[in-house]
Amino acid sequence: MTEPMKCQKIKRKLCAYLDNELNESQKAKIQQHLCHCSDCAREERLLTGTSNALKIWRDIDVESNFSATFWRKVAAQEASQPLHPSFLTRLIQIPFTVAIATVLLFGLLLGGIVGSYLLLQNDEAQVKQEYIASFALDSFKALPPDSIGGVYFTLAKRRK
Amino acid sequence: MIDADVDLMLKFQAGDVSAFEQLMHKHQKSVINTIYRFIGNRAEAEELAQEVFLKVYNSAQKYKPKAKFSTWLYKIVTNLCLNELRRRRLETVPLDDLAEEIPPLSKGGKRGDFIDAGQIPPDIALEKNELVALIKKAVESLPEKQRMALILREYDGLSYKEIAEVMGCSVASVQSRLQRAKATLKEKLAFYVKED
Repeated sequence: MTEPMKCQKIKRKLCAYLDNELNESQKAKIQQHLCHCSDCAREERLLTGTSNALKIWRDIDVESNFSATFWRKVAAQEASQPLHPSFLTRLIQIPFTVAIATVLLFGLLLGGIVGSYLLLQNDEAQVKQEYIASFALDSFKALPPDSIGGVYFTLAKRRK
Repeated sequence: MIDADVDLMLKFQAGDVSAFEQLMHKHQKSVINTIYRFIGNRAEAEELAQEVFLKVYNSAQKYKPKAKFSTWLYKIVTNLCLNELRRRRLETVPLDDLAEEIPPLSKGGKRGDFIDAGQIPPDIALEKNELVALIKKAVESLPEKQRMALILREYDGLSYKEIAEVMGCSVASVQSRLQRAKATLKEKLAFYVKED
């Protein structure tokens, strides 16, 4: 047998009625219905009984070391963070333009250092090359004929 | 009216660590018990409660008193509990095991009826701790959102409006979740519930 519509509606509201979550007029309507509907009244008693049964499940006590364990965790967390979070937050908040200017300045400085180092490397190589070239055979040119060396070589050729 | 907990949180925000200690001392029992009733394991409940307070500790700088402190706290608790349950489902239950865990649908029964109250003779008086175990099992078998709404209402005494805020849903939806949860529990504990 199907329940009358009113009973279905009442049963849907019974939980809120027992939890005192309905307005006065809704409460009055339900109270009135419960007075002459034995089925809904039984349902109300069963729901109250269920709520009372749930209360048997008591609270557990907190372990005595709960607080100490918590503070140990906080200490471990803070030790694992090398930078203070507020510092990081501030770092993130630096304006974009300032960040770009800093990067450019840093780039220029780095470029200058690398450039001068490479230039120095090139200069050294050039001096070394010139030094080696000074000992090459083609650097010894013929003696001029009127120099002492030139006269000596001319006389020596004639005697032969 | 100024919420005393909000006041303590603002003091902690300003650097007063003792204010945080007071807050933790005041709420630790309810936080642990809410998680315990939801998760069903004491050690894990304590571990998760530590995580809740670490979140509160770390969020202090960003904290803005928009609602009651307890509402904000229970929101953290609820999110952590639901995430933990999802993580467990993903990590530890292979699909084959899950299929074995679900009992077949019995005549007139519903999937998830781990306690078949009908098989226990009603004339056997259950010891109180046995009844607690039965209640625990019955609560654990509820769908997670119904279970959380029920715990927040029955054990933490939150109003429907507060539960709605904590769970991010409407008051009507809280009412419907509680109605369904109570109806299920009423069926499961039928043999042991006295009509008052």
